[in-house]
Amino acid sequence: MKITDRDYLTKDNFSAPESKRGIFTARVVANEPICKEHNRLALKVDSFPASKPGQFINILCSTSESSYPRVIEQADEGQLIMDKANVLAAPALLRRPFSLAGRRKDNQGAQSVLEIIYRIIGSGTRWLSQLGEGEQVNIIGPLGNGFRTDFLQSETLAVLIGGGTGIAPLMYLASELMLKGQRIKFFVGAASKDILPISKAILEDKQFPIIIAAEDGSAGFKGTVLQAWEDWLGRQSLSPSGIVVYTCGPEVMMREVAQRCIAMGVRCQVSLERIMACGMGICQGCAVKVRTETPPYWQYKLTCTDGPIFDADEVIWQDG
Amino acid sequence: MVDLSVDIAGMKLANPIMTASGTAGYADELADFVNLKQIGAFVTKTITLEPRAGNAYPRVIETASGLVNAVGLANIGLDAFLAEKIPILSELGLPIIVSVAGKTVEEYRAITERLDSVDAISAVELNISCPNVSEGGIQFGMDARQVAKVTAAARQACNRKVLIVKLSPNVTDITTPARAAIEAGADAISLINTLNAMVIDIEQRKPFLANRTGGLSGPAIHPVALYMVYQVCSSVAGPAGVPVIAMGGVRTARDAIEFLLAGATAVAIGTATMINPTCLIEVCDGIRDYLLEHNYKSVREIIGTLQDD
Ligand SMILES: Cc1cc2nc3c(=O)[nH]c(=O)nc-3n(C[C@H](O)[C@H](O)[C@H](O)COP(=O)(O)OP(=O)(O)OC[C@H]3O[C@@H](n4cnc5c(N)ncnc54)[C@H](O)[C@@H]3O)c2cc1C
Ligand SMILES: Cc1cc2nc3c(=O)[nH]c(=O)nc-3n(C[C@H](O)[C@H](O)[C@H](O)COP(=O)(O)O)c2cc1C
Ligand code: FES
Repeated sequence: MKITDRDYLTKDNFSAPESKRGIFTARVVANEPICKEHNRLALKVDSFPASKPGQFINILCSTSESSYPRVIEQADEGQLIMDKANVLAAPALLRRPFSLAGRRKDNQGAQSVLEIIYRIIGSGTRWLSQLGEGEQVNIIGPLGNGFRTDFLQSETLAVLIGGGTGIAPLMYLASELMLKGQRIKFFVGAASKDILPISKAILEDKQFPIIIAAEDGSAGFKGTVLQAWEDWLGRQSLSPSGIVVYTCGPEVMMREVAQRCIAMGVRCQVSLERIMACGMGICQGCAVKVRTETPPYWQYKLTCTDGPIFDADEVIWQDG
Repeated sequence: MVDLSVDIAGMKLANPIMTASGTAGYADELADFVNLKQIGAFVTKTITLEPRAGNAYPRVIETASGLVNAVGLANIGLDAFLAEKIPILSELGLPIIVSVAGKTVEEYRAITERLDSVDAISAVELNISCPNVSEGGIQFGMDARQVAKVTAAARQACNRKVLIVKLSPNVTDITTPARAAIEAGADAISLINTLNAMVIDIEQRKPFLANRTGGLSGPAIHPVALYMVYQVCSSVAGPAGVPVIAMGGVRTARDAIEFLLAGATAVAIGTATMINPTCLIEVCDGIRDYLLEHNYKSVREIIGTLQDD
């Protein structure tokens, strides 16, 4: 079997035009644990616009937000009946952002199945974890800019470095790059193997170009994903222009990857996470400091619209 | 058919629903998500004479049914606004209300003067929830004398546009600044801006927001906003014949109808727009349904009709 035939790879080839973002009702087709700490949620949605790895969706993590009172029926006598159902106790007010971890075409064709991998940390993600198959969720997307792959040459090696939940957007990127025939090396890491958000199919696929790091030594390389990458780098004789690095994970990890890449002269893109209130470029909440050419040599960009993917050398990291 | 149109000091709105400043950007951000042509009026993010980068991160954090923000008036500045955003805004075919702020009374006057000659806009809204640098950094809106000064200065520069003063709720008695604004020449009053608030990160024992404190919005503030709107309408704006634009925690038509019954002529939706852009339309539809169910011909029939017994 060719690697591009693997069914965990992205199969929706984005035939949709470069259309706009939108608000969609999606149906849950799967919502199950993928490891001890992460769940995988698959959402079926009609005519979802073209999307790119690195983009995200904003999920309304509460039940029905429709307005009240609403007329739902007009009885014969001209009497109007109101829908007084109420949803006063919404568990999470703001939408929650989640990176696309994959996208494929539904068997029937016209619909897309979007995949996210999430970790339960609070009210919104707990609400998500209770969704059953067939239930509906309201999503906005695709949001954000996505990873840039236009500068990859056919012989370039794409190196993906993911830590913990940050592996999610890189899964989508890995799939797309592999389908295009790009050479990749995918480093993933977590404290222990059983909290690594990687599907069994991939773990068992000897041909999948993945290197696993577990700090407790429970799988693959014993140590952090950074150490695994450094170890591998030490054994290569690559020219800086021969590789491009994409990373997502804890900010301290990405910062180290970024600094290492800058020192080596390797092109690197990072996927940043900031607290978001809107995801649409409105609230200005998700500000990130980036370098500029002109005084004062920095400005704020928005993670939700200018990002979440940034070039490593433009980011001015927090606390320094 | 129900007539949803309302009139704010001569400004004609097809329906009483508008955006709240800072929660709908400059309109283009929302273009993919909702047809803004269907609302009553558009209110822009607050503009200042010079561009502002805003506060450090973190700037927003969710609380129980609310959102605390300390964005720090990040905006593109008046010149960029006029050049880049006015053309987009004028295509909406709606009354455009430009929210403005300054660090001094003179800045409020100057920015109002510049906007007074811009054909595409219908009104200027003074955001007075900003620190007054010449008076020790106390918010203009927290001191009735400052409210009067800012309003009078803007009034002097505002001859062709409707002048709206947006009140800060961070006062002992909301009717005091309301009266000051009306006496100084405001054509309409809008309220409320966000309530002073803060969140603490208990692990780090530090304020959560980089600015330490911020302003609370969203469903959590709705009953407080309603109380203030009710007070302003019944004891100041109503008797003076000055229209009120109400906002604070509107998410459903019921919330908006409460404001209308309390005396507001129009209702703005802020935080809820950022969660569900289409709620602007849904709330409007819900008001229409309510009017139909109660056999009203016009939304104007219910404004300020709270029953006493
Ligand atoms: C662009 C982007 C992509 C993301 N992709 C994924 C993903 O693929 N999988 C995944 O599991 N998570 C992802 N996240 C993080 C995810 O959005 C948060 O875990 C989620 O919002 C938490 O919601 P909650 O209601 O469960 O927790 P809450 O109760 O809201 O929060 C619990 C704790 O997390 C903090 N927190 C809340 N939201 C954020 C945030 N956005 N960033 C940082 N801290 C936050 C809170 O301050 C609090 O301390 C992403 C975030 C961004 C900005
Ligand atoms: C993220 C954010 C930014 C805001 N920016 C402004 C602003 O620039 N100018 C202003 O007058 N009010 C601003 N507000 C206040 C809103 O216009 C509104 O008065 C307040 O949020 C209450 O309404 P709501 O509960 O419907 O959001 C902002 C509110 C939020 C949440
Ligand atoms: S999340 Fe609101 S501007 Fe980015």
